[in-house]
Amino acid sequence: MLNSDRIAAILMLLVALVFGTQMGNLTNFGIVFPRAVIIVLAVSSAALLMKSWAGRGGGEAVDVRGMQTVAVAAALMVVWVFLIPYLGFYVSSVLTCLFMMALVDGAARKPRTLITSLAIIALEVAAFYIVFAKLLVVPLPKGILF
Amino acid sequence: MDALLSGISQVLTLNNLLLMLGGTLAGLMAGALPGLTATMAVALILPFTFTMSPVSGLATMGAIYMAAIYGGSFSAILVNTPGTPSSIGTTFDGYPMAKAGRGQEPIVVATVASVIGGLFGVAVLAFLAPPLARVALKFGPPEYFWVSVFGLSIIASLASKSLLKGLIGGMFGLLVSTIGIAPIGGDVRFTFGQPSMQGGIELVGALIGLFCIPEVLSLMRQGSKAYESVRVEKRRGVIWETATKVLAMPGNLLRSSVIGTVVGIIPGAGGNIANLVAYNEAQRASKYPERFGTGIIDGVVATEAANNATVGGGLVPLLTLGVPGTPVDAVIYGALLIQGLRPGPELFTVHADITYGFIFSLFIATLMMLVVGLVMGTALHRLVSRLPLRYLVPSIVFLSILGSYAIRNNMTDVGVMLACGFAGYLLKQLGFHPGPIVLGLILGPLAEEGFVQATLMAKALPVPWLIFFTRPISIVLIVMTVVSLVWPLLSGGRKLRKEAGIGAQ
Repeated sequence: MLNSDRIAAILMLLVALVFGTQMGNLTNFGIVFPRAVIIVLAVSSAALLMKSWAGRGGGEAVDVRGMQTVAVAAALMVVWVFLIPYLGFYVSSVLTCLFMMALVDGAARKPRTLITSLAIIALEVAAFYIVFAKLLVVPLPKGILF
Repeated sequence: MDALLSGISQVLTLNNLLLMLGGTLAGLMAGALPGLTATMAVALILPFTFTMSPVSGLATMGAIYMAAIYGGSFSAILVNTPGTPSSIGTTFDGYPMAKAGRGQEPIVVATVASVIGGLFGVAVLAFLAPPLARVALKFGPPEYFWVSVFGLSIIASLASKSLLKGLIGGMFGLLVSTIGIAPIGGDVRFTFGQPSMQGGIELVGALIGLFCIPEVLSLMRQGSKAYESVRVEKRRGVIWETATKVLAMPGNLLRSSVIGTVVGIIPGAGGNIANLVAYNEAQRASKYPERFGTGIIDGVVATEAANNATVGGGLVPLLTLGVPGTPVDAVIYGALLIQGLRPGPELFTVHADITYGFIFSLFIATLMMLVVGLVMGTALHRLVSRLPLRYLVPSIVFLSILGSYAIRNNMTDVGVMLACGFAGYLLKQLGFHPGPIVLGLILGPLAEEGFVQATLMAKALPVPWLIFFTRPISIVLIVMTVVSLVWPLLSGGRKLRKEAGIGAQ
């Protein structure tokens, strides 16, 4: 069983270590504050680690159910961001929103629901696109279409 | 006085009143939907305010904040699921009343109590913030360092189940805030060879990521949930009749509003804590405590007055010291920075018209909430509760990406937002609350500047480090920090001894 306190402590010790190794060429002004923070972070993480082994309220077990959906959703978000420079903001957003809909709700994969969903999401993205690009004058990334 | 009048006149334009009305409607809908928090609603609207004037932007966000906290009561009463964590206590009495066929009554109670609590919190903000800001003008670098330490210590002890994890979360936030160019000395730190990291972690993008992405991933993980709403039977005269009953309990209203305001002022503690404390105190002070939880209006009055009072209370430390009182205030902190306003005493001197305008707009938004809540509240709740998750989830992600891109029109901020979001989700799974991390991120530069500048100031002194411990305001702040750190340990020990005593019996 995965113990959340133990994983948290090890992760934060690693963070302290990684940041600690990056302090080589800093001046005294630049180093004094992060060094203090890293020391407190490392000491408190070590204390949490020891507490998790001592078994005194050593953290809850990490619930891994449903993590597959979370992993796919996270990957989809990353793909979305990578697609924007190539397909443009509008096309990439409509496409990935559609995939995300199918991931959230199996019913959205039925042809009829899919077409309705596509129409709704295309309109929604278009509305926000117009608000941002025209009213708020935010130049959104363009791609193969617009 | 001129600043106050100027602020009021800036708010009372048709454009701003319409924006606040839209904000009230949007906030109410976001709050009424379980899974969407007030913080998320305000974070998602933030990009829309970039091109607005400071008063318009802040007024819109304030209206959403106030209405989202109130909106949580609808699903608490009608579905037995709090729309936001601030309405957990409202389910205790609100739902039994609705289930007994008196659904309209708790909604009116929640509306009237929310409005009174909200107005009380904003009044305290209006009267307390200016003198506190005058005190804050006397702060030097050591005091700002201790303000940051106090803010972190209190959020570490209040926002997390474990003091140690709260402390680690705060330290992690502080460490991330040091990425980029050092505020004093100009060293380039922790960029890992990436030139785009030299500007540091973009705060607004990080806030959107930390508050929106973990919630979306949690929603996706739990999947579609069918909420069965209790049907509200409308009855003539019930609004006036119930409002009179609420106004007939001034003690409960005042006590709960004071609790909400004080809890809001304490950094890290928001409506989620205030509503439960107020419910508990209302029960303790009641002549019929045994009836609490069976469907009486006293419980709904307490929780709803308290949670809306936190809105004004939470803004007190933000506007005067630059320390966010609640997670939503952290997002408002980001909004102030985007508008070129530095949270702190400067808001009551250089930008007093904007600040008073913002405070006044909260009064107006609270009054709008009364009308919108009573006229359209139930219908809006019915509308949003039918919204399928498959539309909600992609829409939130889409707005998060759009919002983080719009800050500086670059994709790096979107990447930072996603990275913060994924890190926030992972840390949430490991038992870290986002509150201490966000506060660390915000207070990091303030703490570092205070620490390094104080060290420089003290170079001429015989014992330089004594500068942190000898100034009167610093001493007060140190005592408050020690109390906030020791108190949870003492109360935890007392609880353990009590449990051991019960076990032995």
